Amino acid sequence: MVYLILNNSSNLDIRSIFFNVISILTGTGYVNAQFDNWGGFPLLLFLGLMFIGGCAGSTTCGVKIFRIQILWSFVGNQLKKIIYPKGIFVLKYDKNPIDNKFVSSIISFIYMYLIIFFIITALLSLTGLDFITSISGAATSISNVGPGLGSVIGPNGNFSSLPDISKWILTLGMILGRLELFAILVLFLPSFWRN
Amino acid sequence: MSNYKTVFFTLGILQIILGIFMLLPIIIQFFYSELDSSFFGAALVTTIFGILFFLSNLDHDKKLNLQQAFLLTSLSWLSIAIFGSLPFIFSNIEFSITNAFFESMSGITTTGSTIIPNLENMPKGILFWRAILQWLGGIGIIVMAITLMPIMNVGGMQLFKISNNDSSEKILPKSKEIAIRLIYIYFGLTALCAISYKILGMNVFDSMTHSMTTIATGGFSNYNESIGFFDSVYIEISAMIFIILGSLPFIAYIKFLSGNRGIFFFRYSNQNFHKNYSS
Repeated sequence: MVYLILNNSSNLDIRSIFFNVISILTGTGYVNAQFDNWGGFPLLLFLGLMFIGGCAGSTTCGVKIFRIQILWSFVGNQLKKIIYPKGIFVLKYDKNPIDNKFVSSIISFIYMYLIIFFIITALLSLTGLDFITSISGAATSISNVGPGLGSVIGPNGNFSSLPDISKWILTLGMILGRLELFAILVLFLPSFWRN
Repeated sequence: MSNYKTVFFTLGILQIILGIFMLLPIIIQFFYSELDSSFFGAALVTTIFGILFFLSNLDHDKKLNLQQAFLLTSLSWLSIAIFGSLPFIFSNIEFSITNAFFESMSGITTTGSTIIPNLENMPKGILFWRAILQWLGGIGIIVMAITLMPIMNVGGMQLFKISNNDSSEKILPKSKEIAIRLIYIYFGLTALCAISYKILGMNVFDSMTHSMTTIATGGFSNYNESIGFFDSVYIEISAMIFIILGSLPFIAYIKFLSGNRGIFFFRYSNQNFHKNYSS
């Protein structure tokens, strides 16, 4: 957002920057400008923003902020361990120590999120969509944002012209992302159905 | 030993609720004199399915184990998306089944991707139904994230357990009280949002539908240019405020409204609970 305000090259007003960033970040998907015409970096920025999402226990989607916070402090601790191999660093979230099993489930969540994102991107491009449409379509469906990027499914575009098979893939992405991936994936484990 | 009666019983209830909500667009259709049988037909089909599920599983044992909680979560979203696509299919705008299901799933997952190229020409009933789908999807995910998800150990959601000694057998009774409070708060926020939109210059219909999709952080709009259609700074500012309100953890609102007087379910909580509202 700061970058967009500073690099005000294409006569963007602060109002539309704020609005679109908040809307995409939280996975709402309201738009008031063609933000994909803002240039190369903003395009990438919006793609990244789509993943973040809001807080847990709200109506938003995406990776969710608490996971990113915990991942950051985890990475920070790993770095400290390199310098002080014998040090003990307790991972804290809001002043409470976090058990390692939470951290591992968060890391596996983020890992699966990226894997599924790439699989959906690949499947979409197999159905004949161009690169920017498939990558942003995958991001927008798994993070439940709404509009994608590019000329087809961009902010003022819509998904009607996509082939039917792409729509089904996107639908799958939506329900996977909405139900936090594992709630769906676990159903495909054979051991889930065994007693 | 494992029977899925509770799962299908709950699915039945959800379908009946969905069927009842399908009657609301009929009121809109009445006002804009575009009455047709689509919503009534869809409501009838959905409610009948719901009642069948409901009645055939009346003898359920009111318990959910972990496995059934997973099944319930997935099936409820899937079935609502399927039944939610019925009004699109029954309408006279020639939605294909793929398109109808895409639109319905996009609504119920609060995504907001649309396959409708010319939103301005859509019947008001359809537009209203899209908003309702997102609104239901929004409250659905909040209730689920607070009641079921922590027990399911999905991606670190265990951090948000309301009480530490939650065994999966007793999910249902306590979560009912929480769910009712959440629905009040959700409804209140939506009403506030609608009023502010109305004051800031939307018409009644737009303010209703947009407020529902704003709080759900869904993003369905009645116009191709989305909120840009109104071209009003004030509407955008209030949309931003309500989007942010919708993206805060709803349990924090309950905490806020009930103060620190140790109101009912908070006595179950320990400091685990305090993690909730910093995220």
